[in-house]
Amino acid sequence: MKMGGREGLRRHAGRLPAQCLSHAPRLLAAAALSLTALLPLRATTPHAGACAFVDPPTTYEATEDRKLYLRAMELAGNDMLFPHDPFFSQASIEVGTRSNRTNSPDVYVPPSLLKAISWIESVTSQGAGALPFGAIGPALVSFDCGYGISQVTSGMTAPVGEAGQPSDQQAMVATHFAYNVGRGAAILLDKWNAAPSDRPIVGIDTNSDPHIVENWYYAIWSYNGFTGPGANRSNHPLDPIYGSWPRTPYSCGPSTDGLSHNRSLFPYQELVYGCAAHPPQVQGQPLWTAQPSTLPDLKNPYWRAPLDLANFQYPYNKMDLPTPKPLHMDTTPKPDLLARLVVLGLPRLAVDRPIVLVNVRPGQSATPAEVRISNDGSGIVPWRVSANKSWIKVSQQAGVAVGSDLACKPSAPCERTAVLKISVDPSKILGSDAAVVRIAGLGGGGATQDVAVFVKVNVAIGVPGTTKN
Amino acid sequence: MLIVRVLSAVAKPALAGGALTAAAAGGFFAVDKFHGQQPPSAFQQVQGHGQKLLISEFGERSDAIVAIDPADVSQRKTIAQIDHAQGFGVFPVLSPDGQAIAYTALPANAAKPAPDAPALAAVVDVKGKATILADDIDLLVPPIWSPDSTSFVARKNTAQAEGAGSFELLLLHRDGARSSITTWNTAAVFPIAFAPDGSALYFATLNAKGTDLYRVAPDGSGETMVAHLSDQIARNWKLSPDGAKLAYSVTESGAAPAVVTKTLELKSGVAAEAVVAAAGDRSEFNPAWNSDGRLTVASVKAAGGGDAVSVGVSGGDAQRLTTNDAGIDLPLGWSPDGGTLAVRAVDGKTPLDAGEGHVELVDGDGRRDRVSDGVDVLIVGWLR
Repeated sequence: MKMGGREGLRRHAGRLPAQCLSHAPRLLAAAALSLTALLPLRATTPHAGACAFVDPPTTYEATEDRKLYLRAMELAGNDMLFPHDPFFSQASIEVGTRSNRTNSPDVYVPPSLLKAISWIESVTSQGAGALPFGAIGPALVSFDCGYGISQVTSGMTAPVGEAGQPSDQQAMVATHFAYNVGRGAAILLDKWNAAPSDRPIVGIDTNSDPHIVENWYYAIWSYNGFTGPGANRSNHPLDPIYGSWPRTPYSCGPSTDGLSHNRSLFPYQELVYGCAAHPPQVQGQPLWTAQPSTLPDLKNPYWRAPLDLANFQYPYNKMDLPTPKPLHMDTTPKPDLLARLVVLGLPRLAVDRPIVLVNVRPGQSATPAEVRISNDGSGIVPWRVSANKSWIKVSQQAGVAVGSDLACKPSAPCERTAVLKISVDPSKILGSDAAVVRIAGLGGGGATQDVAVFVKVNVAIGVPGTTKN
Repeated sequence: MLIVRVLSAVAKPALAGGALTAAAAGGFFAVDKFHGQQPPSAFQQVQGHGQKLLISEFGERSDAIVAIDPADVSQRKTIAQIDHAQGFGVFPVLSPDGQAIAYTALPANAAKPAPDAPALAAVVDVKGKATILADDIDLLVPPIWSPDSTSFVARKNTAQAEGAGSFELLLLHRDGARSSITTWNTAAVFPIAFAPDGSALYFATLNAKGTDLYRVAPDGSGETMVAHLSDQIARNWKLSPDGAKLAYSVTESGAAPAVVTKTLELKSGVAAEAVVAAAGDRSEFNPAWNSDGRLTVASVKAAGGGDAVSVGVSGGDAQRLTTNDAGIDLPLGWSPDGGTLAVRAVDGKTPLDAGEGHVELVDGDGRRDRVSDGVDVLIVGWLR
């Protein structure tokens, strides 16, 4: 999803479905990861034209049942994941009609909608398509800089941290599923809160209660781009680009369920509501309890007239809708307080050494040093690397260290301890020098550890094997 | 049955230096026998055996083009298999001469497929040879064939950071040539059909001011507005076989909100409601022309359910062609001989209740035959 004017360019993730992934050649995945390891070290100076990260940072991909992800969504929906956090949630939610809109601290998103959006966006995957479940490897990054489960693009199209580096928040979104889920929920909430000033309201007869799933119609539409007739890809339900109406509902369920599975035929919000009502099956089980909903009755003037073409003009104040009937509440049970502990754990960053030595031949080569970043606690520690000298090069800008409580598939690549290679750009080194590489444990992992990097310059004096320091 | 993969035959005359892969075009073509000479393709095999309905059956990664005998729908033959990006079906259309199928598709190897991602425009000839003609067009706009079957129109949208971007109608020739017919920055454009003599292309424009109809010569000259179709979203545009009228449906608000089908006299620019005798809560949509000039539309009944009804050339009372009280019959098209109507029968008494839907053939006696167990089925065209 996108926050700005490019939101109409939302794209879906090209990820194999779960049933395909379970049969994905493991060798292929392993080969891809090996290739990553061979990639050159990255300078800590910014790179133009990339997304937030030059290369996809590493992430933890949970098991195929996605229980951890779904639990995170249940927490996020009930604002129990990062309560009232201004970036990974919202401080409040707007409730009420256009003339009676107020801020409520009861921040809520129907979890079933978050689950359905995640499936539409990424097949509910934080890792890249080649990464197996129960593994550690590259994060899912789309060509338009959509990261992870929620395919967060807002704020992810360029590094926004200091000195042209990725920010801590960008690292958390890219590497840790829970922060990605939280950010996705925050953006959906932001779309909801855009009403009434910038978006219309659904639920003029139900006080626009966010607990009613139908009332999220415009917010979901906006998550993909609040685009209407005349846009390059309109999400208006009557747009001629969708050739058939009335439409058999979309389903994420089995192909034999009698519903449609062709994404080409639906506006985004119908994909999401259809998926919520007809959840995907993984390992023979639906991923979530089916959440029925009612779409606006396009034959009834109460719902159809606000969707008139003439009304689709900023600030869309003539598009307010009654709640489609029958209305539905999300029946997903509210998670208990322990659920947050299960999702986030009690991570604790550890770096195995405070000092490293890098040997350099100026203008020629440098021998990288390695530090190991581990998690002495549980859950996931997302971390980000920065340096105080531009000639420092690191193998990863960000990644994760994974606690032993999280499951790894036996055959899958799953190095819980990250190995960070630190080197220097030999073309920028003239003599022995020193720098500090800062490894910031993010989120609950809190601690920041500095690694002193001493550079030893070795100058060849003509006889192989002889150096002058 | 010998399955012959003809991916090696994929040619890209318009994209010699492009990055397309053969797999992106995709294609399996089946033949029954091989006698040491070029075997007839499955597409060739279904030629010259009377009317055949061609449908596209959606698959998660590949759609099947199937020829069906309307007299015995159990007689099916898969004549092509078109690979596509996961989850995003193709939009195939049979050429007027029945010798080729043009389609839009997202490449199977698309990095991140989406409805607005650049799509392929390609053509499969009767020998089963697939040719990609463009890799930058809009997936959701089906090809519009020229009457001589030598070219088709596809739409290309160029997105912009702010605004809708530009919409271009391209004429893609089967020999690889490509030309621009018209480009719009103030409205989305939708190609509708060529005039029967090929002298003009009709297209609709859609923006906040409503829907307009234009005509333009294939070389881009003489672009002229024919009529303002509606202040609302008009859709389901269908040109009559003689090229004299355009049928379309529009949802109208006001004192008596209704979904109505209208016919526009292209010469005079005058529009009239297709079903003139109807009143009250009306829902008439999905028009389809018969070769005799009669128009068929879906008409939802007050008590629920929707029939396919027929109205005369000049409009008038609707004559019921199908009866469906538990669902809605959406007319999709008539067989060339006018004896069989293809409908999409959608479960549910009202559009809001839409459930499972299947393509069915209805003959003059009201006998219905489901052509596919699949729900995601598109009509590709009729072989004569």
